[in-house]
Amino acid sequence: METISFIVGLLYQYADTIALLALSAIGLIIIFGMMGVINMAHGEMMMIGAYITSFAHYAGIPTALAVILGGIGAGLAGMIIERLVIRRFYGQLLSSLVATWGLSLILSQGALLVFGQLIQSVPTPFGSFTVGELSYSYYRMFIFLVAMAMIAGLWALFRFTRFGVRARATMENPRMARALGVDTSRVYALTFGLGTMLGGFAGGLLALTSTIGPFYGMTYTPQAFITVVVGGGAEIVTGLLASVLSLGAIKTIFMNQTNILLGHVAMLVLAFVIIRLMPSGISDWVERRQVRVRER
Amino acid sequence: MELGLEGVTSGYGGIPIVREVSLEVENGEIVAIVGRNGVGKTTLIETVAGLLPVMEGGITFRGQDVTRADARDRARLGMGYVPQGRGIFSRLSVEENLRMGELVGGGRAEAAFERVYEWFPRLRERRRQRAGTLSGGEQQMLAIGRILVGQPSILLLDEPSEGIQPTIVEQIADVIATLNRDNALTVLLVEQNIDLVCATAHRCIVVDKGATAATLTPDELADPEVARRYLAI
Repeated sequence: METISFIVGLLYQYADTIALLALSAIGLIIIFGMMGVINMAHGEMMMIGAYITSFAHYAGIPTALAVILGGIGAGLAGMIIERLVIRRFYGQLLSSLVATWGLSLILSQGALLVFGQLIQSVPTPFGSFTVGELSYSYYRMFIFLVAMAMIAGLWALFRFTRFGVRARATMENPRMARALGVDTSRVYALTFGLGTMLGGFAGGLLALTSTIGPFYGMTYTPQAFITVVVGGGAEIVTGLLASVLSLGAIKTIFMNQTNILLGHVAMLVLAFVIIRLMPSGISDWVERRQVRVRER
Repeated sequence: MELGLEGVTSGYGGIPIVREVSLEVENGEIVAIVGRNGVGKTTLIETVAGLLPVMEGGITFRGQDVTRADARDRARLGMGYVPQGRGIFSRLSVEENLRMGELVGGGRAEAAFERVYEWFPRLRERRRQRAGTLSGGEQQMLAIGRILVGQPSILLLDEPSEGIQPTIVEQIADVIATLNRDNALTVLLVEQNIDLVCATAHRCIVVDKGATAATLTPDELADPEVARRYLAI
């Protein structure tokens, strides 16, 4: 019985860690992979999603719908930001970092001025279950499933839809895509909106498990960055999966055996090692290897 | 007239490479642009495709002034551009690459996958494969096939024979000639390979130092003496 409860505990923690990493990084990695831009304001997109979720929930809207509204709101905000700011910084990693960092400050400080230190948090739905001594939240497992469904959905979107094929072509060679009649600036705007929408949706989902304030996004931003950098931008979906599975595993093991702090440290150490060996991320490294094997 | 250039000057970063080029391509005609390396042939065809801005002069395409239209608009009007180095999307599958041609010529008509697979059966065999794994010749078939999935009214080909084995060059020449004969497809071809030019072109324009230097018939170009003089091969 003890072993079973240990294994269940470990798996639960692993699923929970994966969900957190995947949800915080999914929107960011789309934008990075497609446009070579790191959106430092990604955490604020999650904050927007969380705020809309909370306001909608207390306006009497069903929670599920409130979270979806959070995603839509952040998606629209992202498309406006893309048009006004990001558009000028495509392919310029450093300038885009500074510009989006400024945006991040404006949005979080703006939220502080308008809404104050904290807004009402939304109760976690679904209750809990116990295995052995320990109790687990159904909602956390639900979030894990949603995160996996989001990754699968993203894969299908890029694989099977017209928009997805054009987006991948634009990502690889925008000049050629344009010469084939693709409206690449529209593809960029939609992709950016998709990335911030998923960020807002993730923010809404996670808002049901924590307190919500102007700096809510900053809790998730660091691990989102690590996940994206480790995953790399060559293949969005495989990079994201490889990254969350490996980082999640090491973090879970250390968290389980020691404490949360050492869990974070272990994850950072692994990220350092991976980046040292594969400077542009796992997916890029895999792609180069495949090319090399073929050329032999 | 399908395509007309009137005193076109263009280049990279404000430095003109192509200077005051005027030429006309009639509907259903195959025109080859020949000349030595580095005389501006690729710059010229990229300017026609809309990838480089026109610094001076004007371009008309099917009766419309497209001087200020960008590459996307020109593609949708029916310009099918096949760049040097082929420009295939190596991470996409063969079939996905073909789908990328749908917008050429407006993108409303039924895409012609079957027709393309009939011309290039090898692409059908490999349609699920990543395009980056194809050989150079297969990639060239894919780049041309991709345009033909759409509804191009002119084909802009930049060095289609580059780095490709002779049998595939012949096959490509066949397809170009057949399309021209049966569908009245207009072709503007930049090429160094005299055999391919002679097998397809109706008229050859020699470019030197960014300007048009002479107009020859393919028969004249087939004469080694003439070819040596203009192309210095």
